[in-house]
Amino acid sequence: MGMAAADAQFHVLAVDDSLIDRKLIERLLKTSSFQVTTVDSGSKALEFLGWHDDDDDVDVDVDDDERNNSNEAFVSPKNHQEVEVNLVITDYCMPGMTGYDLLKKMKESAFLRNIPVVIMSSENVPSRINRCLEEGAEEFILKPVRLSDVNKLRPHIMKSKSICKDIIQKPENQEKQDNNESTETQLQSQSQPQQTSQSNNNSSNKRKSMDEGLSPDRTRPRYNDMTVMSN
Amino acid sequence: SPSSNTLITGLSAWQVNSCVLITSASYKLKEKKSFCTCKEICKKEFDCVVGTEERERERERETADVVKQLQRQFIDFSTSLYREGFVDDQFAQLQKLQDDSNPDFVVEVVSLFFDDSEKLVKNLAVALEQQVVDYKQVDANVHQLKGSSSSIGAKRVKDVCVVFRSFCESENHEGCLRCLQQVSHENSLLKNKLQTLFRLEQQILAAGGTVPVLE
Repeated sequence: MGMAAADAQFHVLAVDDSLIDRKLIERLLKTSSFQVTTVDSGSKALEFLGWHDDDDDVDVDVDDDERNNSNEAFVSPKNHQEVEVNLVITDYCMPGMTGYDLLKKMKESAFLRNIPVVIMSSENVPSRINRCLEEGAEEFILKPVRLSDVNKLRPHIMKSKSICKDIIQKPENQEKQDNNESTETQLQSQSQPQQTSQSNNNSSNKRKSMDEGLSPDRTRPRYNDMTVMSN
Repeated sequence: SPSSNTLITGLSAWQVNSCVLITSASYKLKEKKSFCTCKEICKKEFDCVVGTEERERERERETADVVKQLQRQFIDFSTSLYREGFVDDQFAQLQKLQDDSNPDFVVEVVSLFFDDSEKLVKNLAVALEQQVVDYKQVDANVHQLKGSSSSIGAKRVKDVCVVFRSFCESENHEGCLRCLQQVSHENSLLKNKLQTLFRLEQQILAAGGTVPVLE
């Protein structure tokens, strides 16, 4: 597979309006060998990610030599992200922009949609959880967050990196996607590594298995768009 | 020949004692330091190797006893905090996150908590004093307190917040006031308890021991 070693330093952006929770999540992430940046609002998060208001649905059609890995949102000439962010973990309840709003904005942006997003909340509200998962969150974690929760983050990063590596390694099948439509498509079972299966087997109420009809590795419509299709 | 003040090593206590009596030209007695305590027979004032070692061992034994005693106190006190519901497992999680590279993590987070909780209690008092109480505002503050108390494992404080929120929802002024009083009380209690805990930790470390980890 030629994956970067599992102990590569990944960069997580943590978003929470509570100072205590920011301190806690920072410590948890650093203990798990992540690089961490914390911000106290959704708008600061977007700013850090280099998002601009006019960039919704920008087509990701840029020169190959500028893009070496499309899950790293640094591509478009209009946007400039100083640092690569591999995952965003955000609180749900925040004044102004909620975690859900942030998630939505990220998924609407072709520039940011590939960054995995995890939502945290102190409240176990099933409708809230489902809403977030349906909008494309990788995981929903109940607060208080612990080390075991943080250990679940790495597979999400690895998964998104592996999908993009598949694309890059097969240039003849590479499709520059029109990102307006997300169609439900069958995934070829051989294209997904098994490494994420552990995260799929969580039976906790925290996660909803969305695509039961597809291969064991959990997929989301958006990733399906980008997956190599071989006939 | 050895320089002055050389301690005679490699000899048995008796030999050392005997050597002193020799007081040969090639040795000088050390500056008066303390009486050798290894053997009665040795009346000279010098630093007998054995005496020094014995004194050292005695000191170590005393210190070790002190450390053990403090560690026992620490364990008993910690256990009582959990048993009495002052803290829950989340507090243990915090302690697990502390290490040599972040030796003050727990104290820092706990300080942040008390800064925050004391401020919130003040805000709540003001909010509940108003002619027309804004229960949404009260609830928002309680929600914040509930969140941070939960994050550090402050169980009793968090539990009061849960009840507090339901009184906010039903806009029960009396209930809210009671809860405010309770939450303030629990907050103070916890602060004292944790200060005691941290003090014990410091004493153990100062005595050269390690802080026990509760399982």
